[in-house]
Amino acid sequence: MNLFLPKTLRQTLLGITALCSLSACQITTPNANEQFTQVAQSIVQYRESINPYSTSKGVDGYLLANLSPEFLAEQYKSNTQLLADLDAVDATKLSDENQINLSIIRAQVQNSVDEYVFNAHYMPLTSEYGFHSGLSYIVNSSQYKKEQDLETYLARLAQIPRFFEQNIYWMKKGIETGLTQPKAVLEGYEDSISTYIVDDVTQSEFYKPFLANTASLSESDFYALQQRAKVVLKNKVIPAYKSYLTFLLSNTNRAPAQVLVFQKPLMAKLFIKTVLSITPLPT
Amino acid sequence: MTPKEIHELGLKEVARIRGEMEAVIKEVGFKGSFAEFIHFLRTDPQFYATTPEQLLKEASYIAKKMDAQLPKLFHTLPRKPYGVAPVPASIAPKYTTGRYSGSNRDDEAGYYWVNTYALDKRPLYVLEALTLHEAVPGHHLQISLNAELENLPSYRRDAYLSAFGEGWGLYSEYLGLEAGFYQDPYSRFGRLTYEMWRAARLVVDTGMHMYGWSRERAMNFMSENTALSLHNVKTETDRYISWPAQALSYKIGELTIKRLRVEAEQALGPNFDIREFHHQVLRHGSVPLSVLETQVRLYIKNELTKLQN
Repeated sequence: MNLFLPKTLRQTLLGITALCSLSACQITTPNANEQFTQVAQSIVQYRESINPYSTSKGVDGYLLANLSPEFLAEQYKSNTQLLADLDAVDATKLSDENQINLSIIRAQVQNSVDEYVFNAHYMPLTSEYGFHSGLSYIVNSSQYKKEQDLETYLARLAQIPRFFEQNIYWMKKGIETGLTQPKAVLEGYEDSISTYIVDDVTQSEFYKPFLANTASLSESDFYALQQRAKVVLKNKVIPAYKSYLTFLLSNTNRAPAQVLVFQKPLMAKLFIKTVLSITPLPT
Repeated sequence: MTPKEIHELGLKEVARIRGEMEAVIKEVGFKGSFAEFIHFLRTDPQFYATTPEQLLKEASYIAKKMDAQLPKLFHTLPRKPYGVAPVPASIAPKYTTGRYSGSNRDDEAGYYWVNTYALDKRPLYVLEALTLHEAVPGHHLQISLNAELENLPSYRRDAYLSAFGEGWGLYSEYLGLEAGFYQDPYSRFGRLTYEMWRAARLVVDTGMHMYGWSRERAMNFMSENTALSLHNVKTETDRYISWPAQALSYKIGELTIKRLRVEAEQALGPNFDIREFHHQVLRHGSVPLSVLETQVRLYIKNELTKLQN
């Protein structure tokens, strides 16, 4: 039973289960569609519940993803359970549309499970992308119409050091286990980090929401927020980028010159899986 | 498919496309090697716009010509129109040649962005293939139709499936052949360079991650077979190294759509309707290729039943 379902829904599902065990289950075919819809809804709800951007309070105060070992393990456990819930649905009894829905949402959940199993979080970067550049997303993803929007944004910025430390923690694990991007690919990668390190913090792209008073605050209130933003950028955000840059530069030499990541049998398995997930099964 | 099958498919595709490229070189009467022809294409001023406006107008004209061909290929079109605009100057220098920038708002069009920075690196002979891929019948048409599908659950509306979307984009480049584009041999060559680039990915991605290919070997293969600049060969190869299997999605997606089309054509014979086939491919939104396959086969089966009755 899925613990993320609201209580009433859980009871309804228990009801269905009881019904199934007492009578001929195959007669209750419309239930397969209902059962699937409920599981799919619980997946959507669960995703909302761990999305740090869902509300201004974040997830238990986390306004940027919490990457702690405990939280990732919990997510893995939840996703495994959701996968089991999906697999408990008799796919053959679903409508055509729900069969499509099932195959898509199942692949998504399976992907989350696989990423954890194969330690995708040990390597939070590609040659073109990384957690540090992905953060640009937070600047334009919200509208700054109220004072609270700006407060939430500031609080989010203040969490960047924690978010970077968690990523670096996993990258160190990656180095220990040989799961890193190769040196050749990282050549010049430091430029994508140093571009965020500016002397004048008002030139930082993270300062953008404080350039214009879109929330129509009083002049003095807006000025006070601007000053706080400058402090957060100077004392928290820029230092986080600096320490990531130092980490990267001092560890690049520990990366293999040319990693062929899939020499490890486990990774070869993942590669084949990735290939399979985008291609039709052999006919 | 196994990585081995994909690798071999890539080699076969590369050989086929290379043959078609050589034929074009012969057709235009160029005297010199393949590499010399690529060099000629990269450097001869006749292949480059001299002003941003010229490039944008050329792209817009191609887009408008394709608009007029759409009813022949589709019976259901998106209601959202699209515009043609330059890539914003702030990001243009490090940006790709062109892309589709969609809009999820009702009161805004989608945009086909053309990079007008460094005009000497934006050859006109790839503009037909690029336009068909990014605007119509490629990304704009597919993405807008997807967004206009009602009653899709959020986890499908927001899903990104590279193999479907990019497979459709590459298939759209090919559709230009049927819609009367690529009359100019250089433009035909331009389309082949794009197709070759995606086919080469099948070889080098699997080569490096499964068969011990070095980065250099992959880069050599890319520069010997594609028309990409050396700079692009390097950034592309590094992307494949650091993002395994993603680059396979384009060619595999395209080949899957083409294969399903042949299946439908053979099964339905004179009753095959290209407009209905395209509708069947797009009507579920972005779906995994395995789902696409099941759905198209279901459509064929239902059509055959209808024909028998």
